[in-house]
Amino acid sequence: MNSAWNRLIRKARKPKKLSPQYEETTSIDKALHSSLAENLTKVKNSLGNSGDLVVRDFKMGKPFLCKVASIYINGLTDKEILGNSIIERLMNDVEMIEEEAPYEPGQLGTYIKEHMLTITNVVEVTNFDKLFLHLLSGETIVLVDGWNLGLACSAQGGDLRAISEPVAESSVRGPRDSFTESLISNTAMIRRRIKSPNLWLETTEMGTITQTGVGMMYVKGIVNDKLLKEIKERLSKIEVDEVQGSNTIEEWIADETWTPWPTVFITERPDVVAGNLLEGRIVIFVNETPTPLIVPATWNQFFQTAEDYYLRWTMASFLRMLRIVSFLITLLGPSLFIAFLSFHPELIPTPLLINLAAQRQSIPFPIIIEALLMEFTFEVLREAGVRMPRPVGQAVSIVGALVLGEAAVSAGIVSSAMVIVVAATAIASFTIPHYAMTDATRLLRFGMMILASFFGLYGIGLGVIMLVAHTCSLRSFGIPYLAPFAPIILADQKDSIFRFPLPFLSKRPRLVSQIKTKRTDDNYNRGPSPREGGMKQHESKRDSDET
Amino acid sequence: MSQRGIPMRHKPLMLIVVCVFVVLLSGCWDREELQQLSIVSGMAIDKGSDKIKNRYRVTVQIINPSQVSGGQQGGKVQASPVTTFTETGSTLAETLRKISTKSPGELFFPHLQVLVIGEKVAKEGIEDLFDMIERDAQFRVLFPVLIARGHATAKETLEVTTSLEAIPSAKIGDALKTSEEDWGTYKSTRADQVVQGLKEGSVMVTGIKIDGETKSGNATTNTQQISPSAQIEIKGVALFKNGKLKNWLDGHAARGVTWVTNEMKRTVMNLNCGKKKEATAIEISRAKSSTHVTIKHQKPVIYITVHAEGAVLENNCSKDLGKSQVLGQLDEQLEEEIKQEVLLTVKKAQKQKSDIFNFGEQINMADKHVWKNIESSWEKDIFPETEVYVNVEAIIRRTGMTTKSYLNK
Amino acid sequence: MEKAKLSVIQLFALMFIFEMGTALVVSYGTNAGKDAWLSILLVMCGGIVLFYIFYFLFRQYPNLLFTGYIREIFGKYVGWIVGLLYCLHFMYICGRNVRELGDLLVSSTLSETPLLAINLTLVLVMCYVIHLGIEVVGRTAEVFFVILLLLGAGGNFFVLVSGDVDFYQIRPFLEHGWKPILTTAFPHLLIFPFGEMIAFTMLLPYLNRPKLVKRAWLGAVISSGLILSWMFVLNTSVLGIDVMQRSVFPTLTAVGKVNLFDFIERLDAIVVFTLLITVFFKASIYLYAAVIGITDLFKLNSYRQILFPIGTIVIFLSLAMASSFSEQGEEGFLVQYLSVALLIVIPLLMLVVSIIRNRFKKKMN
Repeated sequence: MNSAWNRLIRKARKPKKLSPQYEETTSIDKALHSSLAENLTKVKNSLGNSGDLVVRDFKMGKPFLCKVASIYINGLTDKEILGNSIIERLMNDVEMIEEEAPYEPGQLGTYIKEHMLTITNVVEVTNFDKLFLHLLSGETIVLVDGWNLGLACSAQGGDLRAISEPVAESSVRGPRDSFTESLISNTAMIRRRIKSPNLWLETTEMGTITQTGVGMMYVKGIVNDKLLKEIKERLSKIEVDEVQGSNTIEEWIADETWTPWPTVFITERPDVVAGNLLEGRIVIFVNETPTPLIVPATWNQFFQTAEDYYLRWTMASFLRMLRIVSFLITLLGPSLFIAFLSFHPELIPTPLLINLAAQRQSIPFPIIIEALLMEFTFEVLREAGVRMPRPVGQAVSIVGALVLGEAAVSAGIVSSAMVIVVAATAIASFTIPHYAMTDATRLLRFGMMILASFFGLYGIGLGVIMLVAHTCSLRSFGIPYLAPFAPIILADQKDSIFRFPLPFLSKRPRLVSQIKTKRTDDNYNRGPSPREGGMKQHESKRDSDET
Repeated sequence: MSQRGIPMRHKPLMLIVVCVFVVLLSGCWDREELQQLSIVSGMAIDKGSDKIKNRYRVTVQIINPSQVSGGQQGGKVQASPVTTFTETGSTLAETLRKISTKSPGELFFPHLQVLVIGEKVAKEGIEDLFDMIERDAQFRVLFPVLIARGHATAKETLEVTTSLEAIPSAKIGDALKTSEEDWGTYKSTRADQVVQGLKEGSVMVTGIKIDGETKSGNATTNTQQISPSAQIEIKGVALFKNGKLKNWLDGHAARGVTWVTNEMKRTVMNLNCGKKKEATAIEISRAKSSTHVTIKHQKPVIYITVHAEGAVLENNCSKDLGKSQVLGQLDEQLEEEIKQEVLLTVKKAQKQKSDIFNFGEQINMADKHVWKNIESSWEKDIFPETEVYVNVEAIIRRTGMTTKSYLNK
Repeated sequence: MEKAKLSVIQLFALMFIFEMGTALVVSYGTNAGKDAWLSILLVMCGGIVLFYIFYFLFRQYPNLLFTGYIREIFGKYVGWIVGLLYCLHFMYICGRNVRELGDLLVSSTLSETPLLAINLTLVLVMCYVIHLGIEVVGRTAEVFFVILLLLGAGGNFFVLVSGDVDFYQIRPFLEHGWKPILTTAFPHLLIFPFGEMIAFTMLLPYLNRPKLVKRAWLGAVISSGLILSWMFVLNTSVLGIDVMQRSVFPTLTAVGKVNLFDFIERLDAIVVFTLLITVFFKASIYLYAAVIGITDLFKLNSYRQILFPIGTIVIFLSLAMASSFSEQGEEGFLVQYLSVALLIVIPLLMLVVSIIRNRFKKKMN
């Protein structure tokens, strides 16, 4: 049994082979030529004479003997900077060159780099791989005839989305900015919130064809070094063509594949990211994706919103408990309905039973079929609501309400009680803040319904046991998924179902950081007495659960 | 695959899958569709035609849900909200199953509201009726038991249509509860209490009778009049000894039972005012009674203490209730009334030689050695001779909105 | 042995749920009449004594399973046979528990379902959970411990508030003297459930802080003893001793009587879930102990290979055990004498032998 699963996983995780054609072009002839013409030809051919590649060649120096060219991709470049800081400098500040000794290409190149280009960042490029990377990232390449190096100048620009309000995670009282598609812009938003030199960023490129920029941010001194090492290792093992969206990385580095629960947290709010960083977690930004990943993630994180920390603790605690109850309703609502009506009518109060029996008098389907039908229809409706264009939105909601609600009940296909249950379940599912968790619950409730239809309450009991056991067996980067419920960590209970007033939350979640468990200064006296910090030594990846 | 058959390592997986399918595919055994159930709301047991094969005649009252609640499929015909089916048989279980020849769905008992037993059956003995109720998981033992008295059979009692509540059994249950709370005279008995009483020897069960023409009750036209021709009435408490109905207690004697068993919630007691009989009405709002046993010379002596609180509800007499002295006098009168009621009941029980109040257990708690000695002859010999002392403390707290009545006499 | 570690709270949760077992719902100790609560408290003290026996054995051999140090004490061959006997005993009791849960469900709610379906599904889920590892079992127990407490608190609250409770039903004390109390206590009540804790000797090596075994074990014994005693008092107060002695599932009957405001009624589901949770963990521990024991005795690689076959054996055992519920009860009576030997006498013997041996060794050194 194990081997079958293992083989499947191994197959899935084998790195994809690149197409042979692509391999050829990158393996040979990597270093830059000295001749400008050859370099330009190479670049143009590699890009297939793409229409957005612009080559601007000009001559420098008296008597205009030195040939220089600047290459850039139209649309990715800020033309003003290009014009003012690069081309103008190169063309007009020729006087400086005259005063020097007769040029040599290498010297000229270095001179250009160190004295002429008033641009913010200049990097020397040694081979074509790097050249293409910089060129396609929006930088301008300056090539000097006779020099076998190139200069990549950062003059990036182009149209990017402005910082807007979050789509999925709005808040009333907190900040309203959300991440955009630019990696640098996103990391900047974090830097603004954590002005500590310990906030470190490590960048790399992933995806053999897409070469997407990926950045990993953490707060040194709070983060667990073992965790850091582990993540770096996993990231380095990813060899795919494309990294489009953080989901690719998520599915590669996640601990557990065969589970409906999400083990990596995704958010689009910078304040959430900042909060998590300060608890010792690691954020992975992906260029062109406005939703970074946060690892490690535990189950109760998915029920917390940023809003919880901007409201008073009474309301925040109440809302958290409400969410957990909604989760239970979403998971168990339809199945409990089926179980009670089909198997245990003796457990329903008599007046209610009479009403329900009256409603069901002429319904042609058994309850389980009716339930599955209604739930499925609702899922279809929900998906349609997401996919369709906005102008048509009204029509669908009217159709949905009328068809599902009124007409179906009047026609005697479903009973009103069923409609109420389905609607309540759907509304409860919207309360769960994180959509990945909602997705998981939606899927699981079908399983529960089927179990309930076979064994009634006993089936639901068994289903819950299986689900809890499965969830307990998950780990997210070494941390048990259901911490702090199993293993019970009393100190962390202050911030899971309840949210104690902030002066009481003096400790970080114990298992995440394991280094610096106190949030405040050592001299701070208010609140329970702190445990001694200090790095803990662990032997293996699968660590014990400590009390 | 070059191998034939399933590889060895897959076999456990296949086995599990097969097992699971075998279990699941054969069907869900317990699944019942709500609309296929016949929900029984009331049951009536009468005497059958002979001693063995048709010992009992059992009637079940089944709810017609769409007529009771406002169902969507609007009324096609104004059918009755309940239907009854009757069968005869030797045991309760057998008879109930026989009814399936007449009822459209499986009989469903967990929502049984009331059990009515005919007086004739009660006189012959009800001991054999309750084993199934205790044993079968479907019966939830909290429903009240009633004895149909008068000339009507239990079956006819269940077949009287009721106004203000569609299901007659529910109405009976509600009337029982209301009377217990407001009038306090006829204490209700649940099935489990009946079982306990049968085990101990004596039990009390409430009575029910039809007020009016029995035959005309069995029609919807009964409730279409303003004053129905036949109505259900809770009346009397039946005394059982060894499972057989011996006597009925009515009125004050019945109320005495409620006093002693500490189940009095509210009631109204009338007091004399000088020459005028029963002129003042006092509402008893709270009552608590306790029984205490002491052993004197190896004999038990029973002390019953009653605390009652009340308010004046009606005063048709010229006494000035604003004076606390007057209220004090009324207190004493009240205490005397209550004491008389309790003594009346106890005397009747003693005459009956049935310890309906379970004083025996009190003696056991007081002194178990004495109890061991007298247990076997308690009900027959000792109880009728035991001294019972009643001590009542009653306080009238309030007089309502006025003090003195407008009457001058 | 697998490379897992249990924390003290997890062990406590497992032990507590284990102790509650079926005793919470099934008629427990009613042979002693109204004073069964005294019997239970007495037996709790007996359980503490038993604990010390196992504890000293554990201290002598902290890294060995029970089947391991049996062989150390009795010698390789005799010890192996005795170990196997214990494993079979564990399997049998596991089957018994599964059977009892199935019987409860069929008697009270799912009356048409064949016992095979219930037992099969239960054992399958058990196998799945055990397959995930003992650590997962521990963590799941932690979660369900909280759920169990909530269910218990809720049930107790409703029963107390519903007004049916009459604590005088417990009196008079010692109605029939001390004899019935003592005869019920030893051996019947002692074995079940306090003697059954022997299954945990197979789990103790997994504890991550062995010094805290005492806390977990004693805590579980005392708290479960108190709660079982209280449950008896509560049930008798609601039902009366007569019904209590005659009914098969007293807690179910007692909770079924709750009727609050005509709305909160029919709370049987609480009791059914409680029994499901407790029996699940109890049977899981037994199954795990049996599987680990067999793995140890037969020197297999990993217990997972043999988990499912033993599970199948347990299913068949639970079905074949008795043909009727009454037969099961009587068989329990017979088994208890065997249990005395296995659960009390032999460990005592082992303790004595090991102490003597260690003295010898010290003398030799």
